[in-house]
Amino acid sequence: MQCKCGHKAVYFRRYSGQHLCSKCFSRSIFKKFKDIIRMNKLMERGDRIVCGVSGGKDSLVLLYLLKKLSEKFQFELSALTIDEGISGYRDLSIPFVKKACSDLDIELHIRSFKEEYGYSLDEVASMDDRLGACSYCGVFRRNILNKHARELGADRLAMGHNLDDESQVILMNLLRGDVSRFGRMGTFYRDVHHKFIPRIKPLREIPEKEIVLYAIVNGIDFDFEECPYAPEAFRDDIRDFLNMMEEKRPGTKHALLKTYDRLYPLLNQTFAPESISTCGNCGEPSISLFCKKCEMLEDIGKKLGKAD
Amino acid sequence: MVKVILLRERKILEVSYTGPIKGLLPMVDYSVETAVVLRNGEPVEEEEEVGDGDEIKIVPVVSGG
Repeated sequence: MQCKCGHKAVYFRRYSGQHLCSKCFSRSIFKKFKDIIRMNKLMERGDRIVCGVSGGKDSLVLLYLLKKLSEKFQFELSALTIDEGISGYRDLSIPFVKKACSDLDIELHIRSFKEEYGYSLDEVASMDDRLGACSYCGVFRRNILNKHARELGADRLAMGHNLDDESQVILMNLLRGDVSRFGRMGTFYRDVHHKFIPRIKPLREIPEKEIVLYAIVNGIDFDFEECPYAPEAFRDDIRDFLNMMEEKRPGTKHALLKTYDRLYPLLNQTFAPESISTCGNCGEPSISLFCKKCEMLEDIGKKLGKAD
Repeated sequence: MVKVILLRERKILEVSYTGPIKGLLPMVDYSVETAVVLRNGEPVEEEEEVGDGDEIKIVPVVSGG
């Protein structure tokens, strides 16, 4: 098939019926990315944007698009990488981040769980705790990203969540009956705490497959390994279900996100916490007296012994 | 024979197949939603045909975590 410009199509966008050549495809992604930022007012001229970068395709494509945008729409851009301490995985993806930042001339900051908390994720996972590595990692990663983005003077913390990530979480929360989380998942969730850096997700309407294709046609090298701790039965089922539906009924994932976005103002009003206090131990934002990260660290300390 | 390179699995298979790429994908446990396909090094639509002597590279859509 041919693209409407006359060149050979490399991609059939089933949900819109378009056949696209690599140039028109790349242009459409950059336009979508800009539209998401503009329509949701995700940033302003002169902002300091810190981009969370893992070395996987989502965050590297996000970094590339932000850099491209910063050439037209003036803002400061730097990258923040968290080394969780997952041997055979993160140590292999960090070189991709270093190469991208050096190619794009972006300042890179790397922080690790080990230096921040005293334990690597591999050590935490060795406890074989009922919570599982992903629960600890999620809490620690959010904490460390927010803290260091703030120390870097960030106005916004940009994250690479794509359409598949977002639609999976919506359905997971729905099926779990976890309504309270529904109030905190919008394009631009601003926590009511002065130490919280607002997170923005400018790729959340772009399908995961298109991110991979964008990386390939633009020569963005990424690590395509999957985190060894990632296989999570529930999410895998949801992913398979959504992929099956998308194949049968193209546009399903977009429809799910759109439905959520239309409900978001009501959900946010009803379910988001009215105020967030400060952790009595570390001083970071927290819903209860002590934050989840401090509670977890205390628990880990009891099981593994105090960190060095 | 079609040479199929599975990047994630680090495997190279020889598959006897002629037809559209989307028909080949389930034979190697992928689908149009879970793979980006390169034919002889170039990304292609899954409606495109493959046959004897072609090299297909399967890039997994899901990675990271």
